[in-house]
Amino acid sequence: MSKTDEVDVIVIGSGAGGAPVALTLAEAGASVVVLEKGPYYTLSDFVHDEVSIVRRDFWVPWVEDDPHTLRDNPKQRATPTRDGWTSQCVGGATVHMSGFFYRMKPEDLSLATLTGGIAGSTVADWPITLEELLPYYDVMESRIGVSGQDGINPYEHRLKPFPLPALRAHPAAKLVDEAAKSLGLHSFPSPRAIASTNVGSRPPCNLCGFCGDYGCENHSKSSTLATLLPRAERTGHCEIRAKCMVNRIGTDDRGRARFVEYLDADGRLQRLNGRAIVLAASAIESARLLLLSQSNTFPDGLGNGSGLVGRNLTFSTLGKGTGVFSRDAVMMKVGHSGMELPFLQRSIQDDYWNPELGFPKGGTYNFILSHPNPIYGALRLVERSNFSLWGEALKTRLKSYFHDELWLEFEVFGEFLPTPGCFVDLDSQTRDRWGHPVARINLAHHAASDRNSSKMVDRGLEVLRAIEPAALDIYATARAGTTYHLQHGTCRFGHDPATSVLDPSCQSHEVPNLYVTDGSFMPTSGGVPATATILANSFRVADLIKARFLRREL
Amino acid sequence: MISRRAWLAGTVSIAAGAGLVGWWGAGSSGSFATPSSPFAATERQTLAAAVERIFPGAVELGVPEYIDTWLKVRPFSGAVARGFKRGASHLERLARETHQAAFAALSGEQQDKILEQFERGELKVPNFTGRGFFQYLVQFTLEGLFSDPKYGGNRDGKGFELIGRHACHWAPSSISSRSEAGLPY
Repeated sequence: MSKTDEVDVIVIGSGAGGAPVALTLAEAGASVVVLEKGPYYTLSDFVHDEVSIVRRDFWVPWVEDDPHTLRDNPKQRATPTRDGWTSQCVGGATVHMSGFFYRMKPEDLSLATLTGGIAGSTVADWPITLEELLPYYDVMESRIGVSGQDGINPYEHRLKPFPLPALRAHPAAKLVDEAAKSLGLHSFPSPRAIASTNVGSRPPCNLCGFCGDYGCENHSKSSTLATLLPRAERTGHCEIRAKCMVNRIGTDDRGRARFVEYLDADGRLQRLNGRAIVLAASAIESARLLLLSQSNTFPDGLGNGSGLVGRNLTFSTLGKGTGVFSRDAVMMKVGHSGMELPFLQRSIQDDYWNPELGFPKGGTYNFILSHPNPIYGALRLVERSNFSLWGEALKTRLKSYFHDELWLEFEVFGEFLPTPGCFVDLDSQTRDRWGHPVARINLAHHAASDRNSSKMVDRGLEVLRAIEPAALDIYATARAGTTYHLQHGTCRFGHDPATSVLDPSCQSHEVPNLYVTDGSFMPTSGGVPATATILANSFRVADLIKARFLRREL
Repeated sequence: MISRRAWLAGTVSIAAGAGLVGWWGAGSSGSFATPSSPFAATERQTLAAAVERIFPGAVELGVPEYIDTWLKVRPFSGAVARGFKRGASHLERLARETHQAAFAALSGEQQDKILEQFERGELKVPNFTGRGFFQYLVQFTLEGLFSDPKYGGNRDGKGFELIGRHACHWAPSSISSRSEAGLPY
């Protein structure tokens, strides 16, 4: 395929939003080019180098070269930040995700109707039902490999069983189960996008525990890099062009999406024509690219006649709590077998919809063991001491942390309500190294989201307190923070072109053949990390594009 | 996690905690640790003595070499390296003023008393925040203890041994494939 060729489908971004479309269309015989801004890593690139990966933020750009800007007060000037990037590499953020793969629930899709509207929020129902998504969750799970246990989460909606059995959990999971039960809560094994058995040529997880932040050197994590993309390439119809950054999406004289301009790996400007263009560069960057793609026909940005591109930005609220337990005491209770395992693997969703919260929409508790990162572990002790812990005392404390203690933690994924104050626009005062205005994140939290996130943290701490043997220490580490890499809503889908950017098939209301398939389409954040949903929806949209392709309507 | 703290007062604010600044894609193949140091000999001696007080055994484990490695490269080679030089000179000045001797020549207790002034933010000098310097020093010390040994710290994996981590937990590898990580456009 020469670089001046025309292809059937151009996919911008190779993560959860882009890869399902690339695979589905390539399998249907369409010619597909995937343009990915980041490099194409292989397994030998994935090492447990905490300094490079975590401390130096390996996956995202230098803030001096390619920043976002952020402000939480509209009167202030936004300042450069790394927040709001998802990783830049083939496979996108699925490469270094932890892979907690919960599904949405009916409440997530009809929050406006269920609540009758929420003061101060631009909440909206989704234009599709969960029933329409459920088959695609199943497709997604079987095509990438998701492990879990059937019939144990009373709040789960599914048609088919999990394709893979649940991962082996640390024996302390039993303690969480007992504590949850004593409080009338239902704990269940967390579904993971991780192979628990052989999946084709992929081996089962080696239980090293370095999932979050790291690429999986074992190919057991079900990233799009390990699963969908190689399959798409093997069809012979899909080419992945790494280190290619798209500057602009252009239209033909009939106003249809027609071409992209991008800088290739050598920095040369290229143009590629496509019959359909599928944008999946992350909610923030996809909105930015549409806003940058101004033309005489689309002076406010491509597909932005409604003025809603970039609006209704949501993240996930972040709550966290920690319980420090004596490893010996836990072992005496649960036995020594499996004490070295890294996954606690327990979740609770009883507060997903709970009128006792006041505002009834909560989210998910995810109980985990602390990440095995040693520097992170050491530093958190020092930070907790406000840097007074050093010298021999630090040395003693570190030995105790790494040898004698077991840290059980939970994180809360809470509904992050959309508000008029939370949006992405172009920052004319800050440009990236190529001269383009950067994405400015205007951050606003809705009070009801924050209240619920904090209440859920209290409830999570109650679970930790109910654990026997008693913890040595229990404390909250975050109440109502922002998880920036879980981002949604900047091109929400809906029936009405006046109140949404995309139609229910995730095609632009205004620009035929332009689709957006990352988290941008979501009118609400949901009470789970959205990765599973983005993949499932992308498979759904891919089927619609495929049908058009096969009918020669593209 | 630390949030953002200005530590070179009035001049620059640097994100710390969950990853410092930037996407690191610099460098060539092979080990990143090189014999050269961005510090003068006395500065380096002072800093080595300080990190040894922060974590006894840090020098043996290669923490000074780790600091050398990182303070030569982006994003630390500018303001942060200058901050370390200023920090070293203030440590040295206080040692001379109080004990008429080099910081590195003082007893552990004497060194701790001086470091405490940094830790508690008691040092008041223009254009410099002692507490910020101290926090950076602690962070780099912890990184140098438990980093991949290719950066010069965690010599022979001895830092991992200290905390009972086996090979599966750090998967050593060549840096060569990583040097291509930077976007070349």
